Amino acid sequence: MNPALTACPECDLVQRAPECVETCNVHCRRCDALLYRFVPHLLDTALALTLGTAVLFVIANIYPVMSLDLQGRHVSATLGGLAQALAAAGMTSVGVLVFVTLLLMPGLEILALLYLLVPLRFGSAPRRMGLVSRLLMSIKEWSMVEVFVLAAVVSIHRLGQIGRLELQPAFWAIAMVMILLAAIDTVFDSRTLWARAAGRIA
Amino acid sequence: MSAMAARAGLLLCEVCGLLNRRGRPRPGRLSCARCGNTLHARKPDSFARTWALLITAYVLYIPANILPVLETRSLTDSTHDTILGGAIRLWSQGAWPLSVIIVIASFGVPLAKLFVLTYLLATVQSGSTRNALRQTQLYRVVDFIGRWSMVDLYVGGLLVSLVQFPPFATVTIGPAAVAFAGVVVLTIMASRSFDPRLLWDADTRRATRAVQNG
Repeated sequence: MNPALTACPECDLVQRAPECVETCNVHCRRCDALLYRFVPHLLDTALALTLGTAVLFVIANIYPVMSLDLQGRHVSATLGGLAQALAAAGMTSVGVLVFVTLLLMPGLEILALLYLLVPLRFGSAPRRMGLVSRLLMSIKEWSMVEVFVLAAVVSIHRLGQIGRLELQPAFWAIAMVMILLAAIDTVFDSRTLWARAAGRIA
Repeated sequence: MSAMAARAGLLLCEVCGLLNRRGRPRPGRLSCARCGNTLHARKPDSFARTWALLITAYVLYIPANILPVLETRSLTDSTHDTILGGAIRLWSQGAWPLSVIIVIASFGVPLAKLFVLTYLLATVQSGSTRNALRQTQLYRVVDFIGRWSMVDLYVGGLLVSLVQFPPFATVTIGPAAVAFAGVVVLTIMASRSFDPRLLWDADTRRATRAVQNG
Protein backbone atom coordinates (compact mmCIF):
# COMPACT_ATOMS: atom_id res chain seq x y z
CA MET A 1 0.00 0.00 0.00
CA ASN A 2 1.26 3.48 -0.83
CA PRO A 3 2.45 4.94 2.51
CA ALA A 4 1.70 8.45 1.24
CA LEU A 5 -2.03 7.65 1.28
CA THR A 6 -4.37 7.46 4.24
CA ALA A 7 -8.12 7.41 4.89
CA CYS A 8 -10.13 9.50 7.32
CA PRO A 9 -11.39 7.47 10.31
CA GLU A 10 -14.59 9.55 10.46
CA CYS A 11 -15.60 10.12 6.83
CA ASP A 12 -13.54 7.45 5.02
CA LEU A 13 -12.11 9.86 2.44
CA VAL A 14 -8.90 8.59 0.84
CA GLN A 15 -6.31 11.36 0.79
CA ARG A 16 -2.62 12.09 0.68
CA ALA A 17 -0.75 11.80 3.99
CA PRO A 18 1.82 14.61 4.02
CA GLU A 19 5.06 14.01 5.92
CA CYS A 20 5.83 16.50 8.66
CA VAL A 21 9.25 17.65 9.81
CA GLU A 22 8.15 19.74 12.77
CA THR A 23 5.18 19.56 15.14
CA CYS A 24 1.97 19.33 13.17
CA ASN A 25 -1.56 17.97 13.36
CA VAL A 26 -2.86 16.64 10.06
CA HIS A 27 -6.62 16.99 9.61
CA CYS A 28 -9.01 15.48 7.09
CA ARG A 29 -9.54 17.88 4.20
CA ARG A 30 -13.24 17.04 4.00
CA CYS A 31 -14.48 16.70 7.60
CA ASP A 32 -11.54 18.11 9.60
CA ALA A 33 -11.11 15.01 11.79
CA LEU A 34 -7.59 14.57 13.20
CA LEU A 35 -5.85 12.02 10.97
CA TYR A 36 -2.53 11.87 12.78
CA ARG A 37 0.07 14.15 14.29
CA PHE A 38 3.79 14.49 14.31
CA VAL A 39 5.66 15.60 17.42
CA PRO A 40 9.47 15.61 17.41
CA HIS A 41 10.93 13.54 20.27
CA LEU A 42 7.49 12.01 20.86
CA LEU A 43 8.87 9.04 22.81
CA ASP A 44 10.96 11.16 25.21
CA THR A 45 8.13 13.61 25.81
CA ALA A 46 5.39 11.01 26.22
CA LEU A 47 7.53 8.81 28.47
CA ALA A 48 8.53 11.71 30.74
CA LEU A 49 4.89 12.79 31.06
CA THR A 50 3.75 9.21 31.73
CA LEU A 51 6.35 8.63 34.46
CA GLY A 52 5.25 11.87 36.14
CA THR A 53 1.63 10.80 35.88
CA ALA A 54 2.42 7.41 37.42
CA VAL A 55 4.08 8.96 40.49
CA LEU A 56 1.24 11.46 41.01
CA PHE A 57 -1.38 8.75 40.51
CA VAL A 58 0.18 6.71 43.34
CA ILE A 59 0.12 9.79 45.59
CA ALA A 60 -3.51 10.42 44.60
CA ASN A 61 -4.37 6.93 45.76
CA ILE A 62 -2.56 7.03 49.09
CA TYR A 63 -3.68 10.33 50.57
CA PRO A 64 -7.22 11.62 51.18
CA VAL A 65 -8.79 13.95 48.61
CA MET A 66 -10.55 16.16 51.12
CA SER A 67 -11.69 16.16 54.71
CA LEU A 68 -14.65 17.64 56.55
CA ASP A 69 -14.82 18.77 60.20
CA LEU A 70 -18.12 19.18 62.02
CA GLN A 71 -18.95 19.19 65.73
CA GLY A 72 -15.40 18.14 66.62
CA ARG A 73 -15.46 15.15 64.35
CA HIS A 74 -13.17 14.66 61.35
CA VAL A 75 -14.09 12.66 58.24
CA SER A 76 -11.76 12.26 55.25
CA ALA A 77 -12.23 10.58 51.88
CA THR A 78 -9.74 8.81 49.63
CA LEU A 79 -10.44 7.93 46.00
CA GLY A 80 -10.90 4.28 46.94
CA GLY A 81 -13.05 5.34 49.90
CA LEU A 82 -15.48 7.00 47.49
CA ALA A 83 -16.28 3.74 45.76
CA GLN A 84 -16.45 1.92 49.09
CA ALA A 85 -18.81 4.49 50.60
CA LEU A 86 -21.17 4.16 47.63
CA ALA A 87 -21.12 0.38 47.89
CA ALA A 88 -21.71 0.60 51.64
CA ALA A 89 -24.70 2.89 51.02
CA GLY A 90 -26.26 0.05 49.05
CA MET A 91 -25.29 1.38 45.61
CA THR A 92 -22.79 -1.33 44.68
CA SER A 93 -23.19 -0.82 40.93
CA VAL A 94 -22.49 2.91 41.22
CA GLY A 95 -19.52 2.16 43.48
CA VAL A 96 -18.15 -0.27 40.89
CA LEU A 97 -18.60 2.33 38.12
CA VAL A 98 -16.75 4.94 40.20
CA PHE A 99 -13.97 2.45 40.98
CA VAL A 100 -13.61 1.45 37.32
CA THR A 101 -13.64 4.98 35.84
CA LEU A 102 -11.58 6.68 38.55
CA LEU A 103 -9.05 4.04 39.67
CA LEU A 104 -8.93 0.94 37.50
CA MET A 105 -9.01 2.53 34.01
CA PRO A 106 -6.66 5.44 34.74
CA GLY A 107 -4.27 2.95 36.37
CA LEU A 108 -4.43 0.63 33.37
CA GLU A 109 -4.05 3.60 31.02
CA ILE A 110 -0.77 4.56 32.72
CA LEU A 111 0.46 0.94 32.74
CA ALA A 112 -0.40 0.44 29.05
CA LEU A 113 1.39 3.68 28.12
CA LEU A 114 4.50 2.58 30.04
CA TYR A 115 4.32 -0.88 28.50
CA LEU A 116 4.36 0.64 25.00
CA LEU A 117 6.68 3.60 25.53
CA VAL A 118 9.52 2.14 27.62
CA PRO A 119 10.64 -0.57 25.13
CA LEU A 120 10.11 1.72 22.12
CA ARG A 121 12.18 4.45 23.75
CA PHE A 122 15.05 1.99 24.21
CA GLY A 123 14.87 0.60 20.69
CA SER A 124 12.78 -2.55 20.87
CA ALA A 125 9.12 -3.29 20.18
CA PRO A 126 6.97 -4.51 23.07
CA ARG A 127 5.43 -7.98 22.75
CA ARG A 128 1.79 -8.04 21.67
CA MET A 129 1.95 -4.35 20.80
CA GLY A 130 -1.17 -4.66 18.60
CA LEU A 131 -3.28 -6.02 21.42
CA VAL A 132 -2.04 -3.50 23.99
CA SER A 133 -2.57 -0.57 21.58
CA ARG A 134 -6.16 -1.62 20.97
CA LEU A 135 -6.78 -2.11 24.71
CA LEU A 136 -5.36 1.36 25.37
CA MET A 137 -7.95 2.85 22.99
CA SER A 138 -10.81 1.21 24.87
CA ILE A 139 -9.33 1.98 28.29
CA LYS A 140 -9.12 5.70 27.51
CA GLU A 141 -12.87 5.83 26.84
CA TRP A 142 -13.56 4.85 30.42
CA SER A 143 -10.83 6.74 32.23
CA MET A 144 -12.51 9.87 33.60
CA VAL A 145 -10.04 11.65 35.87
CA GLU A 146 -10.87 15.08 34.42
CA VAL A 147 -14.57 14.60 35.13
CA PHE A 148 -13.79 13.74 38.74
CA VAL A 149 -11.72 16.90 39.15
CA LEU A 150 -14.72 18.99 38.02
CA ALA A 151 -16.90 17.06 40.47
CA ALA A 152 -14.41 17.73 43.28
CA VAL A 153 -14.44 21.46 42.51
CA VAL A 154 -18.25 21.45 42.46
CA SER A 155 -18.31 19.63 45.82
CA ILE A 156 -16.04 22.15 47.53
CA HIS A 157 -18.84 24.69 47.70
CA ARG A 158 -21.55 22.25 48.81
CA LEU A 159 -19.38 20.66 51.49
CA GLY A 160 -18.12 24.02 52.70
CA GLN A 161 -21.68 24.89 53.71
CA ILE A 162 -21.92 21.81 55.91
CA GLY A 163 -18.66 21.96 57.85
CA ARG A 164 -15.03 23.03 57.68
CA LEU A 165 -13.66 21.61 54.45
CA GLU A 166 -9.96 21.07 53.82
CA LEU A 167 -8.37 19.98 50.57
CA GLN A 168 -5.90 17.16 51.09
CA PRO A 169 -2.80 16.12 49.03
CA ALA A 170 -4.67 13.72 46.73
CA PHE A 171 -6.83 16.59 45.46
CA TRP A 172 -3.79 18.37 44.06
CA ALA A 173 -2.23 15.10 42.89
CA ILE A 174 -5.33 14.05 40.92
CA ALA A 175 -5.63 17.55 39.44
CA MET A 176 -2.03 17.23 38.22
CA VAL A 177 -2.79 13.74 36.86
CA MET A 178 -5.63 15.33 34.88
CA ILE A 179 -3.30 17.97 33.41
CA LEU A 180 -0.57 15.43 32.55
CA LEU A 181 -3.00 12.97 30.94
CA ALA A 182 -4.33 15.84 28.83
CA ALA A 183 -0.76 16.76 27.87
CA ILE A 184 -0.05 13.13 26.87
CA ASP A 185 -3.22 13.22 24.77
CA THR A 186 -1.94 16.20 22.81
CA VAL A 187 1.35 14.50 21.85
CA PHE A 188 0.48 10.79 21.66
CA ASP A 189 0.17 9.36 18.16
CA SER A 190 -0.08 5.63 17.61
CA ARG A 191 0.90 6.00 13.94
CA THR A 192 4.30 7.38 15.01
CA LEU A 193 4.68 4.57 17.55
CA TRP A 194 4.01 1.97 14.86
CA ALA A 195 6.44 3.62 12.48
CA ARG A 196 9.08 3.37 15.21
CA ALA A 197 8.21 -0.24 15.89
CA ALA A 198 8.27 -1.22 12.21
CA GLY A 199 10.88 -3.85 11.56
CA ARG A 200 11.40 -4.53 15.25
CA ILE A 201 8.37 -6.74 15.67
CA ALA A 202 9.18 -10.41 15.72
CA MET B 1 -16.61 12.39 -6.78
CA SER B 2 -14.37 11.97 -3.76
CA ALA B 3 -13.15 8.46 -3.12
CA MET B 4 -14.35 6.58 -0.08
CA ALA B 5 -11.80 4.03 1.15
CA ALA B 6 -14.43 1.28 1.44
CA ARG B 7 -15.43 1.67 -2.25
CA ALA B 8 -11.79 1.62 -3.34
CA GLY B 9 -11.26 -1.67 -1.51
CA LEU B 10 -9.19 0.00 1.21
CA LEU B 11 -9.55 -0.40 4.97
CA LEU B 12 -8.05 1.93 7.55
CA CYS B 13 -6.80 0.27 10.72
CA GLU B 14 -8.19 2.34 13.58
CA VAL B 15 -5.47 1.13 15.95
CA CYS B 16 -2.21 1.73 14.06
CA GLY B 17 -3.41 3.94 11.19
CA LEU B 18 -2.24 1.65 8.37
CA LEU B 19 -4.31 1.74 5.18
CA ASN B 20 -4.85 -1.91 4.22
CA ARG B 21 -5.89 -3.29 0.84
CA ARG B 22 -8.87 -5.59 1.11
CA GLY B 23 -7.26 -8.26 -1.08
CA ARG B 24 -9.10 -11.28 -2.41
CA PRO B 25 -12.44 -11.75 -0.72
CA ARG B 26 -12.28 -14.72 1.61
CA PRO B 27 -14.31 -15.90 4.52
CA GLY B 28 -13.52 -14.88 8.08
CA ARG B 29 -12.25 -11.68 9.53
CA LEU B 30 -9.71 -9.35 7.96
CA SER B 31 -6.79 -8.29 10.08
CA CYS B 32 -4.34 -5.43 9.78
CA ALA B 33 -1.08 -6.33 8.06
CA ARG B 34 0.91 -4.33 10.61
CA CYS B 35 -0.71 -4.64 14.05
CA GLY B 36 -2.95 -7.67 13.55
CA ASN B 37 -6.14 -6.05 14.83
CA THR B 38 -9.48 -6.82 13.17
CA LEU B 39 -10.39 -4.46 10.35
CA HIS B 40 -13.91 -3.18 9.77
CA ALA B 41 -14.95 -1.05 6.81
CA ARG B 42 -17.73 0.21 9.11
CA LYS B 43 -18.30 -0.50 12.79
CA PRO B 44 -20.09 -3.87 13.00
CA ASP B 45 -23.92 -3.83 13.37
CA SER B 46 -23.78 -0.11 14.01
CA PHE B 47 -27.53 0.53 13.59
CA ALA B 48 -28.75 -2.41 15.65
CA ARG B 49 -26.30 -1.87 18.48
CA THR B 50 -26.79 1.89 18.68
CA TRP B 51 -30.61 1.60 18.61
CA ALA B 52 -30.60 -1.09 21.30
CA LEU B 53 -28.36 0.95 23.59
CA LEU B 54 -30.32 4.15 22.92
CA ILE B 55 -33.74 2.66 23.63
CA THR B 56 -32.51 1.14 26.88
CA ALA B 57 -31.02 4.50 27.86
CA TYR B 58 -34.35 6.27 27.11
CA VAL B 59 -36.14 3.85 29.41
CA LEU B 60 -33.64 4.34 32.24
CA TYR B 61 -33.72 8.11 31.82
CA ILE B 62 -37.22 8.15 33.33
CA PRO B 63 -36.44 6.60 36.76
CA ALA B 64 -33.16 8.53 36.78
CA ASN B 65 -35.17 11.76 36.87
CA ILE B 66 -38.24 10.71 38.85
CA LEU B 67 -36.60 8.87 41.76
CA PRO B 68 -34.59 10.66 44.44
CA VAL B 69 -30.85 10.80 43.85
CA LEU B 70 -29.73 12.32 47.17
CA GLU B 71 -31.16 12.01 50.63
CA THR B 72 -29.98 14.58 53.17
CA ARG B 73 -30.72 14.28 56.88
CA SER B 74 -30.04 16.89 59.53
CA LEU B 75 -31.30 17.49 63.10
CA THR B 76 -34.24 19.52 61.87
CA ASP B 77 -35.31 17.96 58.61
CA SER B 78 -34.81 15.29 55.99
CA THR B 79 -34.98 15.89 52.25
CA HIS B 80 -35.13 13.67 49.19
CA ASP B 81 -33.97 15.40 46.04
CA THR B 82 -34.31 14.35 42.44
CA ILE B 83 -31.60 15.50 40.02
CA LEU B 84 -33.57 18.60 38.98
CA GLY B 85 -34.91 19.12 42.50
CA GLY B 86 -31.35 19.30 43.81
CA ALA B 87 -30.44 21.82 41.12
CA ILE B 88 -33.47 23.99 42.00
CA ARG B 89 -32.53 23.88 45.69
CA LEU B 90 -28.98 25.01 44.86
CA TRP B 91 -30.39 27.83 42.73
CA SER B 92 -32.65 29.01 45.55
CA GLN B 93 -29.66 29.01 47.91
CA GLY B 94 -27.91 31.37 45.52
CA ALA B 95 -25.42 28.81 44.22
CA TRP B 96 -26.56 29.30 40.63
CA PRO B 97 -23.25 28.41 38.92
CA LEU B 98 -23.39 24.95 40.55
CA SER B 99 -27.04 24.66 39.72
CA VAL B 100 -26.28 25.38 36.07
CA ILE B 101 -23.45 22.78 36.01
CA ILE B 102 -25.77 20.12 37.46
CA VAL B 103 -28.62 20.92 35.06
CA ILE B 104 -26.29 20.84 32.05
CA ALA B 105 -24.20 17.81 33.02
CA SER B 106 -26.91 15.62 34.55
CA PHE B 107 -30.08 16.62 32.75
CA GLY B 108 -29.13 18.34 29.52
CA VAL B 109 -26.14 16.30 28.35
CA PRO B 110 -27.79 12.86 28.52
CA LEU B 111 -30.94 14.19 26.85
CA ALA B 112 -28.94 15.95 24.13
CA LYS B 113 -27.02 12.73 23.49
CA LEU B 114 -30.19 10.68 23.22
CA PHE B 115 -31.89 13.15 20.86
CA VAL B 116 -28.87 13.76 18.63
CA LEU B 117 -28.06 10.06 18.22
CA THR B 118 -31.73 9.32 17.48
CA TYR B 119 -31.75 12.09 14.89
CA LEU B 120 -28.54 10.85 13.26
CA LEU B 121 -29.70 7.23 13.11
CA ALA B 122 -33.11 8.22 11.75
CA THR B 123 -31.74 10.44 8.99
CA VAL B 124 -29.16 7.87 7.86
CA GLN B 125 -31.67 5.05 7.80
CA SER B 126 -34.35 7.05 6.01
CA GLY B 127 -31.79 8.30 3.49
CA SER B 128 -32.54 11.93 4.32
CA THR B 129 -29.00 12.94 5.22
CA ARG B 130 -28.64 16.50 3.95
CA ASN B 131 -25.40 17.79 5.34
CA ALA B 132 -22.97 15.06 6.34
CA LEU B 133 -20.36 17.54 7.50
CA ARG B 134 -22.68 19.31 9.94
CA GLN B 135 -24.01 15.98 11.21
CA THR B 136 -20.47 14.69 11.73
CA GLN B 137 -19.71 17.81 13.76
CA LEU B 138 -22.86 17.23 15.80
CA TYR B 139 -21.77 13.65 16.42
CA ARG B 140 -18.33 14.82 17.59
CA VAL B 141 -19.86 17.19 20.12
CA VAL B 142 -22.11 14.45 21.48
CA ASP B 143 -19.26 11.96 21.64
CA PHE B 144 -17.09 14.47 23.50
CA ILE B 145 -19.61 15.64 26.11
CA GLY B 146 -20.92 12.20 27.07
CA ARG B 147 -18.43 11.43 29.81
CA TRP B 148 -19.13 14.71 31.63
CA SER B 149 -22.45 13.31 32.88
CA MET B 150 -20.42 11.33 35.38
CA VAL B 151 -19.96 14.55 37.38
CA ASP B 152 -23.10 14.03 39.44
CA LEU B 153 -22.16 10.49 40.41
CA TYR B 154 -18.72 11.62 41.60
CA VAL B 155 -20.27 14.50 43.55
CA GLY B 156 -22.66 11.96 45.08
CA GLY B 157 -19.71 9.76 46.00
CA LEU B 158 -17.88 12.65 47.68
CA LEU B 159 -20.97 13.76 49.62
CA VAL B 160 -21.73 10.21 50.77
CA SER B 161 -18.16 9.58 51.91
CA LEU B 162 -17.70 12.91 53.69
CA VAL B 163 -21.06 13.93 55.11
CA GLN B 164 -21.33 11.28 57.80
CA PHE B 165 -22.07 13.18 61.01
CA PRO B 166 -25.14 11.59 62.52
CA PRO B 167 -27.34 13.03 63.84
CA PHE B 168 -26.27 16.49 62.60
CA ALA B 169 -25.81 15.80 58.92
CA THR B 170 -25.80 12.65 56.81
CA VAL B 171 -26.12 12.15 53.08
CA THR B 172 -27.11 8.91 51.41
CA ILE B 173 -27.58 8.24 47.76
CA GLY B 174 -30.96 7.31 46.29
CA PRO B 175 -32.11 4.74 43.74
CA ALA B 176 -31.99 7.25 40.85
CA ALA B 177 -28.20 6.99 40.96
CA VAL B 178 -28.29 3.44 39.62
CA ALA B 179 -30.60 4.39 36.75
CA PHE B 180 -28.53 7.48 36.05
CA ALA B 181 -25.30 5.45 36.01
CA GLY B 182 -27.01 3.17 33.48
CA VAL B 183 -27.94 6.14 31.28
CA VAL B 184 -24.37 7.44 31.35
CA VAL B 185 -22.79 4.08 30.50
CA LEU B 186 -25.35 3.23 27.81
CA THR B 187 -25.15 6.61 26.06
CA ILE B 188 -21.35 6.44 26.00
CA MET B 189 -21.55 2.95 24.50
CA ALA B 190 -24.21 4.09 22.02
CA SER B 191 -22.11 6.97 20.79
CA ARG B 192 -19.11 4.63 20.41
CA SER B 193 -21.11 2.09 18.42
CA PHE B 194 -22.39 4.71 15.96
CA ASP B 195 -20.16 5.05 12.90
CA PRO B 196 -20.02 8.61 11.47
CA ARG B 197 -18.86 7.17 8.15
CA LEU B 198 -22.47 5.99 7.67
CA LEU B 199 -23.43 9.67 7.34
CA TRP B 200 -21.02 10.05 4.45
CA ASP B 201 -22.22 6.81 2.85
CA ALA B 202 -25.76 8.18 2.94
CA ASP B 203 -24.54 11.50 1.56
CA THR B 204 -22.71 9.75 -1.30
CA ARG B 205 -25.80 7.65 -2.14
CA ARG B 206 -27.94 10.78 -2.29
CA ALA B 207 -25.41 12.57 -4.49
CA THR B 208 -25.26 9.55 -6.84
CA ARG B 209 -29.07 9.49 -7.11
CA ALA B 210 -29.09 13.19 -7.85
CA VAL B 211 -26.58 12.73 -10.68
CA GLN B 212 -28.52 9.80 -12.15
CA ASN B 213 -31.79 11.70 -12.06
CA GLY B 214 -30.00 14.47 -13.91
